[in-house]
Amino acid sequence: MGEFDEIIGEFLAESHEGLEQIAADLVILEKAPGDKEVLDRIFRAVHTIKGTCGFLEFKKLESLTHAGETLLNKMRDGSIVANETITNALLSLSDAAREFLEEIAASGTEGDGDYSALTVRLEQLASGDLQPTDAAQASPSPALAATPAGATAGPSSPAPSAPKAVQSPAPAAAKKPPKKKKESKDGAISERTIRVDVRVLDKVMNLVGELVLVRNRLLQFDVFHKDRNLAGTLAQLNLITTELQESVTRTRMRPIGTMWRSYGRLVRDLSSAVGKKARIEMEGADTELDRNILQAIKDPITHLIRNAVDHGVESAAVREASGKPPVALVRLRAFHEGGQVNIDISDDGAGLNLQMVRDKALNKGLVSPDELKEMDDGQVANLIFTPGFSTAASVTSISGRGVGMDVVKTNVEELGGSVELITREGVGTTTRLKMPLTLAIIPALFVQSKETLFAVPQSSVVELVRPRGSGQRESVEFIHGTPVYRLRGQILPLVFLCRELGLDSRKPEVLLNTETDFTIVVFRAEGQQFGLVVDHILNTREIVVKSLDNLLKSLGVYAGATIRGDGEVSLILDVVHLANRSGVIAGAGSSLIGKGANKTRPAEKRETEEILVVQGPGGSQMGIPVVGIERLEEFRLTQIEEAGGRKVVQYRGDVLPLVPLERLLPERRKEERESPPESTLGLADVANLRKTLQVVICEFGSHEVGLVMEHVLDIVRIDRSGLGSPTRAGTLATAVIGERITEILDLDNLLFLAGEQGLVLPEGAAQA
Amino acid sequence: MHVLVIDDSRTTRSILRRMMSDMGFGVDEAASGNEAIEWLTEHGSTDIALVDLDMPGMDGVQFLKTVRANPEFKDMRLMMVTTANALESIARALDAGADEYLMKPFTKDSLRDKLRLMGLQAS
Repeated sequence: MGEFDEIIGEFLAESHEGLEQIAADLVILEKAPGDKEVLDRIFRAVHTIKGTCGFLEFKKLESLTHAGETLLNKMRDGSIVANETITNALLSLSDAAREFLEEIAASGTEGDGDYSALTVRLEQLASGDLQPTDAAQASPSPALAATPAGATAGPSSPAPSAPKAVQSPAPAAAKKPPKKKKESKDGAISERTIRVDVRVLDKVMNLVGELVLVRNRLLQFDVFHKDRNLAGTLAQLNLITTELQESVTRTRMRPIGTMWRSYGRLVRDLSSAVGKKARIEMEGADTELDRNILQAIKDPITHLIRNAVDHGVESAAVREASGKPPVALVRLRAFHEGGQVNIDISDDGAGLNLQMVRDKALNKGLVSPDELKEMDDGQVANLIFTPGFSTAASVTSISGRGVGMDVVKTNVEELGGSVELITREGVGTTTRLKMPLTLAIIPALFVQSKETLFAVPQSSVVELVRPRGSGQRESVEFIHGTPVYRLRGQILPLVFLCRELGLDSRKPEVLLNTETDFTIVVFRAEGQQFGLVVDHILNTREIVVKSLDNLLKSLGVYAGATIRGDGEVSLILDVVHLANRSGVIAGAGSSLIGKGANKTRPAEKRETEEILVVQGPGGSQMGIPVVGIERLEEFRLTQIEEAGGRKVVQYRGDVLPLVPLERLLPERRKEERESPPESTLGLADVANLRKTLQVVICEFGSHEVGLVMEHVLDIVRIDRSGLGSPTRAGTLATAVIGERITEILDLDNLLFLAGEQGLVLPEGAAQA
Repeated sequence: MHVLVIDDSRTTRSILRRMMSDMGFGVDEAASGNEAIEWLTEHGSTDIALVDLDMPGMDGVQFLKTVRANPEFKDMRLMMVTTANALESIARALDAGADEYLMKPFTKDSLRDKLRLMGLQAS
């Protein structure tokens, strides 16, 4: 029409809300087919869409909703009772309406969708032509009388426009207006709310954050405390600010029930799709969470519910055989605990088959038999969150392709939450998400490096380690120039914060000698641990997170900033980026390669592993898993040729590219990058020194590559469980071999790096 | 001239607000019978109320009865706004004290005609 263009947005929003309400109510209606209040709500939602469609001239949607309204009206007056056919038709109605709304949102018109068949079906249902005839007639019968009678006996509002009201079981109730205006407060409350642009809320939240910080500064001035009047005013300001902060935080909160609404439908559709019977129960729907968090956990929770229905619960037959009610129960529960919100997703199914989990974890090489032996049932159950694990014996269309639980875990942890799983065989499984209330204000640990204070999010800190007394410097060792610390038998790579940020560029060796004291903050990032060396630990505080300007953000090491009580700005460290940047943990790219390697070479993940021990660049000791090696060869210097600027040798009728190992291993320290030739020896230099080259030949894609070593020392068999964390990209792990710390190389990753740097010849070029 | 629009659909309220303000009325809205009563208690009265029939809580008919029972509002004009399949309720609305009724959907012209019949014209 055009006249109401600016109202269409409002129409779409209101109609979508109505449809959400309908979806939730239809599920309730299935359990209580005559519930008057629910029927009223559904009717009103359809009625509203119909009414507004009339004004906006959406004729097709109007006639569709009109048919639905007529049917619902008969259900309201009790002449037709809900059954599965009707519920399905009403669900189709809500789906169709949603499609209309999407079309209207996209094109401004109703589009050419034809829903006349559905309209006709709804009309038939309303006229009692289809199955509902039986239901309508049956309603006064003793078996079903309770529901419709109960429904009509106590209506909170009169049932108007009942064409056959005289025939309905309780006409008196319909005619007589209820004497008490028993207000269902819901309606009043929902209309007392207004819609606010989220950006406005964010802005307000920001300003309150600023106010809090200014308040904190004011509190530090002595002058205020000397004057009684000033002190009183300041105390008042303090109080009001705190209250304001709490109120504004609450404006960003939404009840988790708003997100749960669609899950009733999900469980219903899913269970019928997989041929099971399941219902959903919700508790604590009014528990509130920051809207950003709500949005972010919607998908993980959906996934967990899918899992529960698809894999968690048994079929009706199996359930009955084991004495359970045939209809399985999926339960959502949200509640506050210790400043966090817990969200439980439970089912009363068979529970996890822990033996299957054990077998699978072993088969996939996720744990060693020794590790497994030490795990209790709880730890075994939580193995399913390990990347690469999926328990579904068969992949079904419902739960997807085994990407799942680890993704759930990652998503939840990114928000500063955690996830754990409790399962009891035969009784069921509960997954618990622990989420922070809000993202804008987080608990943080303040650390000091040199003169500067930094904040790190408390959630990523594993533990604090303070090497004691005179032996503290000796407790730090070096692998290939990387400082590491032995923490309870595990090797923990260290990052010196002052060096990483350029506050003090001296070498770790020097720093260790001059520093009197230091503390290691142990972090877990991307499944690996590393230690951040700082001078002092200060305190933990709730901080207001401020976003950074793009210039600072692009540095990658800072996640944000905050203003401390003394008015100074502190930067918040981005721990994951810091670790990636300094190379102590492998980035996403290399871990992907690692996974690929597991698939093609499952034997690699055995309890023990054969390692070729070699002397690498700079005299350091390195290990290469034998399983990745094709052959060992020695070439004379004179055999080396040059092709396309690359060193090659002719080998078994083919051209073998040679790559010096030190070219591949990423170096970490600026000094080393600028530093003397010994660590950046070219191929010719190495060959000159020794006249022969020792080369490890391995496969890379369809051709072979030769890695140039200094010396081959030995082949040993080591226990996988004794391996420590990797020190940098290109390495798999660290181990102690022959009393020396040895880096185990990740061949797949190294060769990938070689390819990236153009050190490995493309096949075509090699022939040329 | 002032109108109080009473409807539980905010889209409908917006549409009615547009029509009425185009005709020169001052407009206020209420989302239910209860809200409307609250508004009236606070502001005294209005020239006319457009009343939706089906609302959660206090519905249109109850609202009409409540208003008609209060002599304070005897000058207030009441127009029932309803839909075509609620013919029976039009009778109930008129019984309950509505001066006029209008069936949704309607155009601004038909609304203006009805208002004129009731002797209401804003400048």
